[in-house]
Amino acid sequence: MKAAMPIIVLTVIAAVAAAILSLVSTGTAAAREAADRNFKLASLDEVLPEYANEPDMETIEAETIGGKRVLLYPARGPEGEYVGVAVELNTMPAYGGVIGMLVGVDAERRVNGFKILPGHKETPGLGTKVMEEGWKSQFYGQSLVDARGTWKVRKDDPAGMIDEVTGATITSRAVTATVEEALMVIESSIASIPGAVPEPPPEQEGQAEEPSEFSAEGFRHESLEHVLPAFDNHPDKNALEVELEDGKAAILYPARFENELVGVAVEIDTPPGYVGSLNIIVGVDLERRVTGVRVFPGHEETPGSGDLVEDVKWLDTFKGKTLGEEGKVWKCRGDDPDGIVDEITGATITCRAVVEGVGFALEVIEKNWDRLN
Amino acid sequence: MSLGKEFTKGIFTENPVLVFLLGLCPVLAVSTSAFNGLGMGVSATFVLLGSNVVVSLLAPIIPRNVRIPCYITVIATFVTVVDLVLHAYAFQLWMNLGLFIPLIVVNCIILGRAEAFASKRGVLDSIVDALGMGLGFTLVLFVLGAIREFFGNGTITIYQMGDTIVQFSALEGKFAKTILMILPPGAFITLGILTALNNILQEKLGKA
Repeated sequence: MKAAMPIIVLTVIAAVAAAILSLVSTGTAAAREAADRNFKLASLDEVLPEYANEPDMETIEAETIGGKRVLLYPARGPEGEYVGVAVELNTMPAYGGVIGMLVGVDAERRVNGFKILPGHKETPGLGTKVMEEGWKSQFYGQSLVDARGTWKVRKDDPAGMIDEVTGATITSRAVTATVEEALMVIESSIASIPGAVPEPPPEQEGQAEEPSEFSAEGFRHESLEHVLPAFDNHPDKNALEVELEDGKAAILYPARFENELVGVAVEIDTPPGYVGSLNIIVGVDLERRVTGVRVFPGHEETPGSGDLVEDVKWLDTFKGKTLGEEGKVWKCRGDDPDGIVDEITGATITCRAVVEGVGFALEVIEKNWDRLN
Repeated sequence: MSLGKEFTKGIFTENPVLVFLLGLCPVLAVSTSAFNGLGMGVSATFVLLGSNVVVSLLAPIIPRNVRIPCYITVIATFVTVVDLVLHAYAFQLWMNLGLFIPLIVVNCIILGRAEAFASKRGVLDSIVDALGMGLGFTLVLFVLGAIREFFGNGTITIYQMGDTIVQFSALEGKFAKTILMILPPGAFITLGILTALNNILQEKLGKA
């Protein structure tokens, strides 16, 4: 008995301690959750335009270019309309390690605010100056498109738009790069936020497009010949409209030769590129291998870089690829060494949109295959 | 020793920080503002009070060879309670103190008092001892935090929770902030000066 005393006493003390802690833990659980949530909402208030919804209740997962998972917090006005979005992500290591940040943009994807989250180890009085409103305001109103190529601190690049905090260049650099990265994450996943991409205005019926020689009909007719295996029917007359999960529509063009199905093309919008989404047409054969891709002109990608994706040579690199290709991921090689195609230098964001768009098109074909026969 | 003396020894003659230089890690790390110092001091005092009471009660039945694990379990329980409660009801302070709340578990002042005092004395003595030691610890942290915050940031924050801030900021901006005071060297320098002042005081009192 004497020998067992230490075991008994220690066990009893541990059991009583566990009982007390489970009581306290249960008792404070609601309050702790509320405190965490209050803090999150207060942080979102700081970085987002005025909103009326509960952004933390409708978060959306997204991925950074490096493949890290981040959360998007969409903000909506009283009518449920989209007013902006915030993204929570970490910087690259700054002076004292990574810094958690919350970056918010308005509906036009301009920086509305950002917040350095607690838990960073930057030097008080030096690195922490990046939390001061005066410094932060340099970013406000900037967007990826407007400030293209100038997301740098001036010390690194005279063309940079951000004055670094004296004595805290490393911290300034990390924060600057992260705000840009946040915008890129938002740019590439904006389509996944319901209501964030405005419906295109019904301009087609007016004169707006008339003066230009470009005719969508003509381009479509011609593209179908290029992207499909040989056919003798009129795919564009047998078009089949399908509704997608996000409410938008895609159009399927079945191609037949002597009344036998030989392939199908789908016309679809890509996720947003650098400026907006692109309209593409993707053809496949019976094995669902890509037989051709065309990008409709009339998008707003930057002339000389983004519009390089219209290059047929680049588009032909999709030929023969399938959705479930072994050892490949449906991404640009710059984003993933196992990516499906190389991107065009200087047009990474647009290429990424096209690659995703083609992948998306293949999924639509797969899902609707049975309706074609 | 009278109860009064048991109480005051923690503040002056046996001040855990200024005389024994114990628990310096939290002392140096969280004393960047008066309020943080105060929060840390009060949290540690609560844990010290709880552990002293429980240890003095349990000491007779705890076998000698497992006494340290027993004390640590008791201390860790109180620390976790403090951590949970601060998280729930004093979020801002909890954020500021961060890891230093859980680290109270290994603060040698607490285990030291359990081992050197509470395990050998009655409950009443142990309570008074804990209050004295806790107050001594809190006082040093508060003064240290106030001095560092004043020179480093120009303010002295007594209370800050949500939007409610009670602080002395009359002189803010009237002199250049000395960032060094917020940095670790400022903590060492200030602590050194406070220790020296306490030594002088002790000497004077000793002679009188």
